[in-house]
Amino acid sequence: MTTADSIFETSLDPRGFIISRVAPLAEINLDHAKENTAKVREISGDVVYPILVDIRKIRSISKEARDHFAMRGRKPGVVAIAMLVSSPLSRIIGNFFLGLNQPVVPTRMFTDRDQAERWILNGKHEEHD
Amino acid sequence: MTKLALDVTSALIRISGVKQLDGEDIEDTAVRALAVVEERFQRSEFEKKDNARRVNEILDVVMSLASLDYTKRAGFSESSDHIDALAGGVNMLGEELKQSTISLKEKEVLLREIHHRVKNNLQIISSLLNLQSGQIEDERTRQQYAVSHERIRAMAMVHEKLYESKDLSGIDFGDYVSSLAHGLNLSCNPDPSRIRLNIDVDQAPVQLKLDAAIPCALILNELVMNGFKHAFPGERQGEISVQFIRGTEINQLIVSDNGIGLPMQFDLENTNSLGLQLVTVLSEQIDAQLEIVNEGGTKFVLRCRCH
Repeated sequence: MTTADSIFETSLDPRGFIISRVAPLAEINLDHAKENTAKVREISGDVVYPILVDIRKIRSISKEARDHFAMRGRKPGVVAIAMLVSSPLSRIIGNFFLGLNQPVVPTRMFTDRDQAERWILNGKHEEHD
Repeated sequence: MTKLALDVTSALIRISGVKQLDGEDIEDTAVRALAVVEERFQRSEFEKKDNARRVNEILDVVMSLASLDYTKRAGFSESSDHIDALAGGVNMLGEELKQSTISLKEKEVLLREIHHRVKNNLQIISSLLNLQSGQIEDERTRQQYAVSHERIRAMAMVHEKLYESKDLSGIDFGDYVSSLAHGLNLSCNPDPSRIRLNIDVDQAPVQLKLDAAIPCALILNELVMNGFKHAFPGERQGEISVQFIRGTEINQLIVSDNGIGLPMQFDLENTNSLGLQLVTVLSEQIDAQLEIVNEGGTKFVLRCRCH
């Protein structure tokens, strides 16, 4: 059985944001999503950071996991989400998070990591979203 | 080798990307190039067939979703290409559609239940008024209770028709007109052998939304009750006609009788009759035009665009 640790590689960037990389060909289900959320909370402590999620190699994500990451009906564990995409599949999934499964915090999709980091670090999400 | 053969050989080698080795005869290089091109061609043919199979598999899923069958899911290849993206997108849209359909069904059940309960509650109120009117000795007050009882019953019937309707968004008003008129004939006609009720309703269904159905229902209720109550005093005989005519743009509800007619000085704007005041107010509410013909009896024509 896969666990969130084998699906996500999550850490705190010293510049002040969480980074979570999705493993190649990962198929994310609700358990993985919940474990990832717990991990983010554990790393964050009392601070609520923005998160950069690298889903470039993702293969699939279940409806339940998408709903969980949308954070509806629960206190958000992050202040903004930057999604890093590249493959056609990751773009499709990213667009679900911008539309049907839109999280309650500002969320944006990037193909360029530097731009994603700039958006998170410069607080641009607070200004525009 | 002729010039043409040499040109073809050179082109073949160029397309294949094969390099001529030192000292290698050009014909040997051409043989290697041909093998590469042939292998590439076969791979391309296989990919074409495989892509067609994958796309067909996704189309199967789309067709299943179109018939609200959520059991099929599109598979993925190892390549994470655009077809895999399509498969992933279709699978996810299917999941969302499934959830939306379930929510919609739950809401429909809930709405049906609400209309059912509203109807039941209105019927209880109507019955209570009816029971209470039995304890009232003053005839005028008892009549007022009876009228209120009918008004509430008319509204309850709208909710009854609504929860029985297919999509809960409106009622077939022609069907409603028949049911209400028959109901009033049973409850308000003082003597059915003396006052005959004719009902003529267009068979083609006219869907009326709730916000128009309630006013229309109350207007019909008032006009028919008014006819039974006032058009045939004493032992006078006659008939009341209820017509509902569907038009392409405007529908007509006509309630007429061949009774004594309205008083000569009757003015709808300044009438003391609460029932007819209600008819005026409700007609304005649904932007309907109300015409009264006071000749050979009374004829009320309500024209509205309600759908």
